[in-house]
Amino acid sequence: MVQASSAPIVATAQGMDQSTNQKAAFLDMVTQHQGIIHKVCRTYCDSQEERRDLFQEVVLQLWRSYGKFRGESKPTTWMYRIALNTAISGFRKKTRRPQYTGMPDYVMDIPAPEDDPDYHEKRSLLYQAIGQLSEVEKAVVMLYLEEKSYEEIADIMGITVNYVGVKLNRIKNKLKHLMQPYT
Amino acid sequence: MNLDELKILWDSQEQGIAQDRVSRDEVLALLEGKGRSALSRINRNILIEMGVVALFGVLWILMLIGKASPPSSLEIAGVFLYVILSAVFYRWKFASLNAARLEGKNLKSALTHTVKVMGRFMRIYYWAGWVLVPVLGSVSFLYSVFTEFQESGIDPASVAGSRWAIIIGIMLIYNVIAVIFVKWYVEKLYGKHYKVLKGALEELEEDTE
Repeated sequence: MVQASSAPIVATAQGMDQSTNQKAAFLDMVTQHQGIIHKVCRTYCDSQEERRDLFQEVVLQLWRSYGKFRGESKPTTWMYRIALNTAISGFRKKTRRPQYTGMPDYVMDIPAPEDDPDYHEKRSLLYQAIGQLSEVEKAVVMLYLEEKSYEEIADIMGITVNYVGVKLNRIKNKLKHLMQPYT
Repeated sequence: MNLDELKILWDSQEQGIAQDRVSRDEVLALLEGKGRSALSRINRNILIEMGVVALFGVLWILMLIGKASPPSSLEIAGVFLYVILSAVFYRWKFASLNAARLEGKNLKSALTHTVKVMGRFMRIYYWAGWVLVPVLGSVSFLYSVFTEFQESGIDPASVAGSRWAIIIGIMLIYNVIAVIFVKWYVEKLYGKHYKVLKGALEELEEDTE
């Protein structure tokens, strides 16, 4: 009798344990790999407010999908997929700025090294160049700069490995053209 | 600037990202404070839209109750249809937008799904705006005019042409306003975003051409 009546309580307690463990594992994973989310946020948002909103949105989307993550791909690949999907296809509120300066507010977030006085100007150029790419090109170039293999980029984007190469070539030419006035 | 130079600059942002890092407790706080997320905003907008639709329903019911004669079976059926269609539509809209559409799918699949769902919403809104609202609006407007005539014992044939012109004019103005409003609303809600997503999807689909 005792066993029968306590069974649901035990099951509930086990369920709670499982849920707590799952949340703990999720928090560990996000905390460890949060650089991925920050980089996606920096690629797609200019202002701190937009980045903060997107960061939270990505964390929420990761948590909503975490229960269905079966480990078929690397956790980082899975995180890139969701972060990029959220950044590109999510309904985000864009901050209205009266005048676009072409320089995100985090360009000056770190002091310039003593041996490189043009450091901030170069970083500004980096974001200006990325800012002029399409949403898809931004994703491809970001993954390339993160040293992902062509196979991994293709897997995250849902395109063929050949097309990754084609895209990167086009981006190289586009960047050369975009940055010509500055070099 | 080539990609190698870009890579050097890209790697240099690590120090800045280190400053942005959040603790485990802060991530937990983000999960619990869902109010600012885009999804919460979408759900809030759906609730506002549902509120407006429900208000129209309530006004309609109040109008029927306030009438001198008891409502006809056609009027009652109309209210029921309105309530059922609204409930089904918003249940579907809520489920579509809240589905874990991003759960680990690659970008192309996620975009295909989002563009498909948004395209459906837009078609429904346009269809409602250009066909349903004018047709139903005109029918119910004329129906109420004829009911009013009947209750007041006025023979519609005896009504002066100028009064009919005013009645038709009001109906036309209502239709024009309804169509403009729906077009503006759909463009504001989904239009721009839909174009951006469709453009991104087309770029990814170039792969198969």
